Amino acid sequence: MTTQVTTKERLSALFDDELTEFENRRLTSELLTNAEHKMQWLRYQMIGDVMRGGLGSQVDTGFTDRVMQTIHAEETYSTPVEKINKPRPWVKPVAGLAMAASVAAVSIFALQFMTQSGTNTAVNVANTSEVSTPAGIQQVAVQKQGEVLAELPKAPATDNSLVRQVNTADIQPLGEIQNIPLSDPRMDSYLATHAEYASRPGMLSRVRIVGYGSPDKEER
Amino acid sequence: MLGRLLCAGLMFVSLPLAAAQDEVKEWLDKMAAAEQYLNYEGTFIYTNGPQVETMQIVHGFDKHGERERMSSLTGDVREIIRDDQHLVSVLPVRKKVLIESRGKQLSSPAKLLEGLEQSGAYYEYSLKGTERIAGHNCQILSIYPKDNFRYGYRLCIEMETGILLKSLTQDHAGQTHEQMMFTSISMPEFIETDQFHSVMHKDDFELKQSPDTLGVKISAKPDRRWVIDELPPGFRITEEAMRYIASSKKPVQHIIIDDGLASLSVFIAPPQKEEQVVEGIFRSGGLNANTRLIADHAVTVIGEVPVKTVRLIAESIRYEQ
Repeated sequence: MTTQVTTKERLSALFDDELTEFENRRLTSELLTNAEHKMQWLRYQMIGDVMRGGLGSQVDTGFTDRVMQTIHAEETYSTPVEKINKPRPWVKPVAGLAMAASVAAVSIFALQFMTQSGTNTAVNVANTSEVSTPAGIQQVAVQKQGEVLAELPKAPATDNSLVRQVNTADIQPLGEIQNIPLSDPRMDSYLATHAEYASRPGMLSRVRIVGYGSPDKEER
Repeated sequence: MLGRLLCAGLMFVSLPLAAAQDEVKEWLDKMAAAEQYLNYEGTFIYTNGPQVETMQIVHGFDKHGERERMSSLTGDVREIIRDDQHLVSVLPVRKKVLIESRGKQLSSPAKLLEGLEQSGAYYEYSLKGTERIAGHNCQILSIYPKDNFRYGYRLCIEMETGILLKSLTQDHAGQTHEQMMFTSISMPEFIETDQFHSVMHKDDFELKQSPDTLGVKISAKPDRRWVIDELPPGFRITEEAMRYIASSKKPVQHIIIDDGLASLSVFIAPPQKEEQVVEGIFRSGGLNANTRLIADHAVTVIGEVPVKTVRLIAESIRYEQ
């Protein structure tokens, strides 16, 4: 393990042009013979490409996927998983949508969830128009001191009271640590409210809001 | 005589420690002020376990107050925008926009320092030299947790401005759970207003807005029959309130627990109609959550603490009939 960390540090130094010529030759030789180190070097190169490439359109959208494949291939990172196996006969825990075993069940779930959400939206939009929507504008806007912060789409008002149902095929045993369920409509609000009301200063609390919802995380 | 010698000895040992701690507090104070009051924009890498993402941030403070837009450049596109009163989450994959109200209880520099006084018994604060990140020199701070109920941090704070350039969240055993590091950053004097506008929303996105952002006052009071039997050492309940959230029509009960540095939220909400509660333990980098169904309510404990801590608290919650 120590050797591996040292090699990573040396790779990083090589990437930053911080190695002496001798160290450079030695590490290059190792890279040519060690597949794992070669992968690591590739990974640093990709990160470097992003750093040098600037923002927006210059970022290779396949970058993260390739890094992920590389990391999975290496399998050097391991997170200890703590498990609980407390039986709860009085409730059946439900897996996230991404874990759904039945495509049909997911479709029904999604449809019903969207239609139920429409009921909430109808109330919100009605209230919004009293508070901040400028006359004539087709979108709802968040306003402060007369300035539009972000124009937001106006959702259609519906009067549908279908309730949300969950197929038992989605049920999985309680105990494993999972990724935060994107299917839980409250979780986004909880993350934001926790970041705003409970977290100490530090942009990390908001980074987590932006960073937790990647599709591949949901699928794993 | 022995007592005097002992006192003198203790002073000899504690003075340098106290001085180091004061210096660390000054750096953290500087960091908190910079985060709130400076203009900066940059790109950073965020690693969450094996996940690597590149993100962009624009932050400004001017006559309009504090404003910020943060977005992901890789993977799932997400964006948050905030000003003094709102936090807007734009979630293109789910075609959803959430507007929440902003809180100020713990996010001021003064509150941070108050918390540090309280947390001293549970963390070791130290300075660890300097580093160069994104072309800027920064001071390394180590916050090491004395037990495994909380995470520690290794921060690198820009020497001149106090902006946080790098952060590692580590557990008691030294394992890193998440990292953030700027790859480029600039501090412009002025940032155009349109930089804070959403670039990801589309017309067909569903809008959900917390009623309090529309001026609706909350009348419900926290239900005191909710009891937490056990808290990990050093943690205490600092606030209990009812709050509106964008994704629920009914207000939820929000209990805040912290040790002066780490914090947890307990959200208690009745299930909406026949909605099933997603029970389990969830993780995202340095954030862990445990959701349970208790007395027909969905109870979620969430915080920047180890699984052990959220689980202990979640299992200590009960409803007194």
